[in-house]
Amino acid sequence: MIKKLFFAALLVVSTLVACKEKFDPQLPSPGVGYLIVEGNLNPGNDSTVIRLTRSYSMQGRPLPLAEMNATVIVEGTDGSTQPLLMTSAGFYTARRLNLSFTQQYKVRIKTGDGKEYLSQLITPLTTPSIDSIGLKRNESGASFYVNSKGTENQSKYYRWDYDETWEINSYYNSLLIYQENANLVRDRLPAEMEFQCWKYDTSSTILLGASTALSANVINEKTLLTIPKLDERLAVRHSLMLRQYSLSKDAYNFYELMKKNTESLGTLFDPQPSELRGNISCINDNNAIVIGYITASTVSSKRIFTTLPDWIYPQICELDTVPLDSIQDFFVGGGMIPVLTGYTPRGTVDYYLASPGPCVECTRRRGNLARPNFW
Amino acid sequence: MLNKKILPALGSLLIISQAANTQEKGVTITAKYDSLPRKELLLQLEKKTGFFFYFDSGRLDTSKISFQANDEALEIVLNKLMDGTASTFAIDYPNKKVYITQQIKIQTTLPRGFYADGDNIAAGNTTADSSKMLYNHRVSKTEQKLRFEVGSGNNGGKPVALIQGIIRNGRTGEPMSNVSILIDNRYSTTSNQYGEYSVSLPTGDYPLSVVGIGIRELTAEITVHSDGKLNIDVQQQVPTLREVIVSARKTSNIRSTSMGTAKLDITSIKRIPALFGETDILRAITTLPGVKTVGEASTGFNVRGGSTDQNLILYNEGTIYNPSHFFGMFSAFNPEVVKDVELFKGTIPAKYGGRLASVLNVNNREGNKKNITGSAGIGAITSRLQVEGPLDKNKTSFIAGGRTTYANWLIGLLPAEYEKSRASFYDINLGISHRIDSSNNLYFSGYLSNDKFSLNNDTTYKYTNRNFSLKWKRTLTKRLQGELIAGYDHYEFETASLNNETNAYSLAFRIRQMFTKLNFTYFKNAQHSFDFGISSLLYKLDPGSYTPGKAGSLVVTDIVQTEQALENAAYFTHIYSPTPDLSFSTGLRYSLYSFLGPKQVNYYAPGEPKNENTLTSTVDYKSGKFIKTYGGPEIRFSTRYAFNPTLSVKAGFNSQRQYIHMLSNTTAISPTDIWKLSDPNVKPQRGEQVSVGLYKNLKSNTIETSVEFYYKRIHDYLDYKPGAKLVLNHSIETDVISTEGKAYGAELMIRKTVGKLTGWISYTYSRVLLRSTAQDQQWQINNGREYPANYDKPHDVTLTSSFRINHRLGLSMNSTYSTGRPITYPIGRFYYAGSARVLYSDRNQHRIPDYFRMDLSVNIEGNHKVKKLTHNSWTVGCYNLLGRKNPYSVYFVSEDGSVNGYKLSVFGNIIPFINYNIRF
Repeated sequence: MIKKLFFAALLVVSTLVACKEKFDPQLPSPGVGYLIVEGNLNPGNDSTVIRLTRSYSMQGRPLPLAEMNATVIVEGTDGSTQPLLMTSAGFYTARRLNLSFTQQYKVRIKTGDGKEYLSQLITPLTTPSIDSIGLKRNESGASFYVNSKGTENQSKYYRWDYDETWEINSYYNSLLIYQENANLVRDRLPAEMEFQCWKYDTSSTILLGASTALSANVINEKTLLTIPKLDERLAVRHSLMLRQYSLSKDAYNFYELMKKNTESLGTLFDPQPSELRGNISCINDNNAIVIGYITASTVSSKRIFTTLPDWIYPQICELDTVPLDSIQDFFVGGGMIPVLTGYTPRGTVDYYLASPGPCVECTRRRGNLARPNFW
Repeated sequence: MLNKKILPALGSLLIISQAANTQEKGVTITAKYDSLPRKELLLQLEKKTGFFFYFDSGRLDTSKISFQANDEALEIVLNKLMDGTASTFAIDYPNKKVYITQQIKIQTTLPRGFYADGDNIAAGNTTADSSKMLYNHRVSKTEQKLRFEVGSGNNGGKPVALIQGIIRNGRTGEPMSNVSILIDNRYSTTSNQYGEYSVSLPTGDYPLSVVGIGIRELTAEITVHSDGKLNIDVQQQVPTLREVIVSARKTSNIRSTSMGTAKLDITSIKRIPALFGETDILRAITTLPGVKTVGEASTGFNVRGGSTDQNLILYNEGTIYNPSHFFGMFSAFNPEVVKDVELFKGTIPAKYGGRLASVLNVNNREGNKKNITGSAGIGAITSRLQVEGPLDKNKTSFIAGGRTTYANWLIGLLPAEYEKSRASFYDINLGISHRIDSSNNLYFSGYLSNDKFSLNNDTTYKYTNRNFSLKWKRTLTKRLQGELIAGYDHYEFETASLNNETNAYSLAFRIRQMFTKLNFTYFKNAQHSFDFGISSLLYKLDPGSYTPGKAGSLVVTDIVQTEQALENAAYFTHIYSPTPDLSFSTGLRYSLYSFLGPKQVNYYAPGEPKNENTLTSTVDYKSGKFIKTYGGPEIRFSTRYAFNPTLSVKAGFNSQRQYIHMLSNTTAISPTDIWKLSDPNVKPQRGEQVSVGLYKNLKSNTIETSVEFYYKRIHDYLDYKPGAKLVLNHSIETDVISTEGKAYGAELMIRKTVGKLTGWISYTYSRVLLRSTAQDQQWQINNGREYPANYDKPHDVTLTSSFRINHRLGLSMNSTYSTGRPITYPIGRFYYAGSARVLYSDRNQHRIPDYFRMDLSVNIEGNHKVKKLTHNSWTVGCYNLLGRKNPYSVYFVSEDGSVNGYKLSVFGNIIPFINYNIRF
């Protein structure tokens, strides 16, 4: 609220005079190799994933380094122990933990370098179900929001993440394809059709909500994401899969501080960035730094589909004439793709009408041809 | 010149009484002369009146003069003509003769009852009071010198006499402050904000000079017989007259014991090129050595390593909690009504207390007591209007000023989605001064400022300062003066958001305080003088109320309990000058602060970190209960030794206590920061400072140089746990980390106050280092090691200069360089919640790039005809002339899954401005 206002104040000024430019101070990165732990213990029947990575340098574009060869064990105050096994690089998974809501749990992590980390005791929470997901439109685009309602004895702190899936359609549904090795244009096989594709994305911002200031445990119209106008995502059909988690107050504070440190900067009145730790610590090396907060809650999820027939997605897709003798020049490498055939009055192929790749083949727009199972 | 009211009585008293008797007042003159020598004027008058003028042209003042008379009596005209010169005159009406003389006054007749009336010869002299002293006797004139005589010859044989009086503007009657009265280069004093001065010296004959900013230097001979009063009317410097050397505070920097003080009058502030051409008092303050800001958009300033909340900003005695408009872009003081600004950063007089770092005293002018005048101005951001004048001539005057903005045009430049946003601010001033009699004065001052900003009709944000004060000044005896001040200060802000049915809220914060102060100054003699007094301040603070914004909102009202406290203080200062070269100012202030009920107070296990687990009890105190009392002595000591009239050395020690704290965990102070009173869990902040300085004036006091060093410690400064929520926090003490600080530095300044080129260059080296002393080790910032504060900028060079090309054209330049402020840079990246993110560790271990800016402005005045109906002027200029993209901050954000670094400049372009001002 207040932050938003300052951002607007900044905007007022910035439109006039202020300016923001990319800046890389070429910093040394002493904070490399810290253990990063992210995950939610799912007490129910769904699977639990804990991701272990290492922090990396400010320079270059390295990928987060996955922590392999760790052992991850969930220990209950009832004496139970359940291991999580690495299913892909850095992801440690258990099919079903079946945790009790009356017990507390700890996560013990032993890494390959011999260090042992232990979380604080975590109490599993039940997450209220998602009431509804809505869409609001204005001149600048469309925003998805969530409504939720919990009971008084459920946590008042919420976190969300989501997956987005959207269908894209090529501008032209071409039945032709250029076969490079034979230098000829032929009909597409059914498996070669590239009109309909799907694209995926996941949330990359921390979405938090709290109903602590309200008289009821209610989340009202919490904005999840805003799609700017003319965006591809709403051109055909869009699906949002939202997951809701209950948080303890401490976990909420952790996420909020992370959000402040990494997302909310750049205003005139920035919060002072500060150190972030979480609920895990190294028990056999005081100097080993670990960052992360392991939560435990059931997950409520909801998927919605959105089709907006009046949504405008502009594409510039002209048809060019490609004479038969120059198909090699145009079609090799897929710069242009044939869409229609032009015939001579005698009925032989005279020329092709072709359009740039992204207008014809949806994979050229980084689309995925496989139809999702929920579509 | 001498007081116009007195002059007829003194210079030509005899003649006036004669004139009245003989009904000769009918000799009137209507004329207008521009820049004529006096001789020429006299000849013109001779023609007009038919009187014969006797004078020695060789002895006349050779300067040119402009004046206008509209059906005015001859003696009035002559009075005007001879003002401030060594000449006097006598009119012989029956014989139609005028005698202009220098040393001896021709007496054309014997006055009626001259001796019988005794001292009170000045019949009709409004400034004379009933005491049997001789006032302002201008008995004779030596060549080129005025001559004053103070006291009666019969002084009872006392060797030392006390002279008191008021320095006033001869045209408007407004008291002139900070005017130096220098007697024989040995006895000096400076007039205070009411124009009053007092000086004690052995009886005898001395040369006297009166100098000050914007006035004509006055030199005279003075004969001191005994204690007495000497009111001096000075003439404003009128540029078309003869070349006048105006010297500001010529030797006061050498002479006074105070160090680390700076005074800027509004004229020099107006010369500094300002952002959008809006004369800005706080920005002017930041050009002084030892004063810094975190950045261009931050409210407030930092003095000698103090945080922004450690400055006491007094505006006509009232405390201003938010001195800025529009998110810190402009200061909230209207330059049209402000007289001067005084900053105490070293030795803070014992009279002031309650803040650690500095006292900024902003004083408004008193209204013109003689005529209705005013001014108006139009700039890019604000329009200003100011009117002043007498309510009851010579007794009561008023001054009123107002500013308003039309900053909404700025919003018009925003993207369409912000078109419904609105921004506005205004401020209003009213000052009334009333002279009850010669020893009693009353002053009223009122101030209102208001800011409002709304974002797309959704979130609105507003804040308001409201202050008023009433002051009664009384001269109890000729050596003892007192003032009684009472007032009320109010600051509040409110944010509200109404769009979301369920979450609509309104959040408000408020400080109210009532105060009374009783101050006395007692001037015993040249060796001893005393300041003493008491003050009482009642705080009432509403730390936050969160309420539903409209019907249907589910927001639960959350009100943090009101805090109240009483701060009483008594002070005593002894200024002792055993010899004219050596003086000591020893001040002691004792402040006693009580946190009052009603209030629920949490108590924690002693010696343990304060948190939910160590909470031992919660006590509910009844209204008026003294819950916790803090107090202690504060020492204000300074000393000065003058090696010679142009070189002195000073040293001082200061200690301070502060009972109210601003809660802020943003790097720059934001206008929604709230305040907190000291309570059983939040200790008062304490500070000590030692400083030494060397002062040298060059070129007959026209160039002042100084170097000052200071070392300072700050105790129980407040910092906060990472991610602490400060607003609506019912137990803020659990989120507070106490911090110790130290600051040290050197300040060099060269200031030229006289001539075509004026200005100052200052260099500051300063450091401020904080150290976290949280009991709970995990919360210690940088593991308890020292780290630089956000406003630690070691090097700072500022050049502020103005060059007067001629009387109508002036050029001003301001340039400033400083080290970039400290910043916390990330030390690595990690991947979390779907995005690469940055990792922070130690606070403030890097710096943003250095800052350099140059501003230029040209001031063009209309012509200077004194009697013109209106005077206008234009100011055009450029802020950030080089268009340098000075960084305000450097930050890293996670965007679409990856981390990007940005450099943000608030004013990254050349900002041209134009301003039009009119005076009437």
